[in-house]
Amino acid sequence: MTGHPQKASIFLENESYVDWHDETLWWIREKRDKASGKVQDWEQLRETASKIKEHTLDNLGQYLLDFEKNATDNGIKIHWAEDAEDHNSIVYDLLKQKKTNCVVKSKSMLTEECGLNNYLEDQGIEVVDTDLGERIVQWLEQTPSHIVLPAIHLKKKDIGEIFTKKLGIPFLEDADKLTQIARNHLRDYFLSTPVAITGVNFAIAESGTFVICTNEGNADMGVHLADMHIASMGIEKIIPKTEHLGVFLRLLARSATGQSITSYSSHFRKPAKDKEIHLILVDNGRSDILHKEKFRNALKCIRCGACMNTCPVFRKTGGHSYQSTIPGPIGAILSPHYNPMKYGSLPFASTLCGSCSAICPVKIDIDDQLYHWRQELNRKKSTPISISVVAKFLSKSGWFDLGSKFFTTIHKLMPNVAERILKPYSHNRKLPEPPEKSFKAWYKENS
Amino acid sequence: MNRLGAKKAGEIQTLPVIEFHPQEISIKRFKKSVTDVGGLVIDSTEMLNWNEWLGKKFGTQIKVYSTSEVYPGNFILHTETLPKTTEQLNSIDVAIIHGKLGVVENGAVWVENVKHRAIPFIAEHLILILGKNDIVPTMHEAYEILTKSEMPEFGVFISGPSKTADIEQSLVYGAQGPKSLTIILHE
Amino acid sequence: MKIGLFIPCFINQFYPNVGIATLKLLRSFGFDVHYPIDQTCCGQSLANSGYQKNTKEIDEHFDQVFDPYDNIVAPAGSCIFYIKTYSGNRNKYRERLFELSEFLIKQNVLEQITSHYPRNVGIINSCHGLRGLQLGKSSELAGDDHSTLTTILSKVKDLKMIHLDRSDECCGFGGTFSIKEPELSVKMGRDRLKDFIKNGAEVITGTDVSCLMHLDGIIRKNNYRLETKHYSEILYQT
Repeated sequence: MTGHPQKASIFLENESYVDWHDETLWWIREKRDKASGKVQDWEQLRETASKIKEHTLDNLGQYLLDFEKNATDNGIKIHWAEDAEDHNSIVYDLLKQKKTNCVVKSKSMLTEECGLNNYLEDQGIEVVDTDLGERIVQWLEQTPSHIVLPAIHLKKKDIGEIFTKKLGIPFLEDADKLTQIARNHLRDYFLSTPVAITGVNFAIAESGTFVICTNEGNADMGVHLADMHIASMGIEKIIPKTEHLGVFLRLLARSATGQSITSYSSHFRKPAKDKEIHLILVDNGRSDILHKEKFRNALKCIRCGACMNTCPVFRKTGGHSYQSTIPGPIGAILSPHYNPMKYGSLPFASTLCGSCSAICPVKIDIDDQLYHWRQELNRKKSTPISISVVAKFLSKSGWFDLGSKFFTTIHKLMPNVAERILKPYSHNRKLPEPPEKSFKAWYKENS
Repeated sequence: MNRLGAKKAGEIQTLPVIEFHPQEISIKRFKKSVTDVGGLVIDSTEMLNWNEWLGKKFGTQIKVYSTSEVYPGNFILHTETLPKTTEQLNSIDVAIIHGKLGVVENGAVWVENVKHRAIPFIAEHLILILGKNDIVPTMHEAYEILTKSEMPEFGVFISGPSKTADIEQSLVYGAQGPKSLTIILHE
Repeated sequence: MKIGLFIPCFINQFYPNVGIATLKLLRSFGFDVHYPIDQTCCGQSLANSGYQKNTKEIDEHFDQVFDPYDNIVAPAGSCIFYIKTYSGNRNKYRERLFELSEFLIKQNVLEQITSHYPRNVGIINSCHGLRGLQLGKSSELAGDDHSTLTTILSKVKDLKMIHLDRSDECCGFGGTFSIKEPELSVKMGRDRLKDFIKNGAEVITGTDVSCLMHLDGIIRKNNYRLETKHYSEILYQT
């Protein structure tokens, strides 16, 4: 047993912890429902967002060129990164230019995807994650377990302990006090660090503007006090027009946390006087996905995390069970593109219940893609004999009826054997009581 | 780059028209939206003595930065040189700036044209001055107004104080940015 | 209208009474129902495991067996969903395939329901039926709640429908999922059952026997005080 089933099995050992994790995320799902319920045109909003994103993907190259031109005209320096390595070395070169060995970073799943922290640390640069959840996870030398709520898997006790270990303070579990301590600790970095790295939530082609959404205000605290702002962005984050922000900003926070909007939605068009903004457009496999008809719609993702909150598998096994930068349903359809061997179990870590697709603010057909991934992962493999045998039994009525009679007999006379045939199903579940005869047998006798 | 130009086979999606049910402007609902996100709304008519109110709410030995003549501050920000600017910014207890428009559905206020972009974030407490006539129902109307002219060099929608719930989902205000947000609403 | 009754393989094998109730129920409404004896299976178990490429002969057999019928009705949401959405027969049979509850509503026979079932009944909103076939509005979507099953059960005398905390969270069966991730599958099932117990259910019903079979397996393993019953057996009681 490898991959998700193995990790899930470990997570599931502590049932009270599983229930706590599950209830916490379900509560967030409920908050989302309450928020979306207050918006009169919610379904129309989703449909509009979906269409905008599909149109953008159909014209991605052109919109990126438009964005580059407009942003450049405004004084923003645009860089193109083919892949993760490329992105990381661009960032490192910029840091070398500023002669800094410390950088503050606000939340960016893209930088996680590129492994930026480890890369920079290997070059002797201190990276300070300033989102409180990310800072905690950074201290614990873990990866975020959720793309919006990075420390959702951690209890107050774990957090109090790491604060004590890293800052030398007496043990505390009080959220208010810990947050105040973090505020002061991070403030020192904001005041003295010349380069700040952020992600990008949306970039607008027609104006060369980009938007960053946070609740803490840590992205802004970093960039406005620094001399250089480096913004890392996946190429799929482009949207055509400023007015489209109305659609996406109404959907994003409600879908993510049930808030009507994040505390801050900062719009950057030009660098401030005597300061620099560098925006790195990162491909890292996205243009390959764009060409895969059945999978391209995964690029509509606005990284809200709603699919994770609603997914019973995610809630009951945690983000780390996926072992991918982006976990959960969206992670299960994105990650296999990068490494089908490593992530081959993810499309099967699902009952295909469809809750993710129904909640997705941009209507990504996640459950459909999970199904197609299952076929894709086996496409080049030779069919196991068991499958060929089952296929034969299910396609010929003579064989089917024979198999059915055989199993009816075994089930009635040797229920233990029947159970063994159907292990691991029967490990923690009882098999159905053996009926006297199959429906077909009854029908033959009674018609 | 040529990889990105490739269109998929079949129907190309056109841009949809943004058209939603018009909603009413309700000052009452705007106030509720602001309080729901942890902010406070005061009518300018309720503000009888500015300095007394400031003192009661934030204490008397405070540094107040203001761009308003009606609600003045007590210090001037000099932005000639960093790091002096950074020190000054970090000493602001209360910042009072103007908001250009407010949004009913989420209590957000659009702020642009700040002397230093850090001001709305670094102050311990933030006060936004907003006109009742500058309130719109949803983000769509907000962007309709904002796109009438070129977008400012920097602008931000601010909804409530800075917050986080990263510690076991306990909501805490004043995570990195202002610990409180007050909106003074005038006619 | 000639109806071809499709009885999924595991109902044929493990729950023949559901097939019997469905057949008798449809005939009691006056439908001309045939059961083509050569039928086998829809092939979903293979496709679900990633082997849809090996289902061509199963599809061909299904087509051969069911071609003569105007409509094909089955007491199974997920099988119908699979055939309509993914199988090789999806284009030919899309308009002809019905899960039982949607068929009964479409055919307007609800006023003929005379059954009496004085129990507290909770509904397991099987995912493929609910979100796949849109047999109802799932909780993620805006709008008023509705489902074919609540409409149908509201016609059954003295049946009390209980409300769950989580109306449509997945039961955890998921076909091959129950074997690939058995612990998680059972955990999901146990959590659903706790919801039913908490809200006073005596009987759990639903559109999919697969969900009911999985839940029933956990109920009996843990001796919970609950029963599972497919709604066809509530509507047609012997």
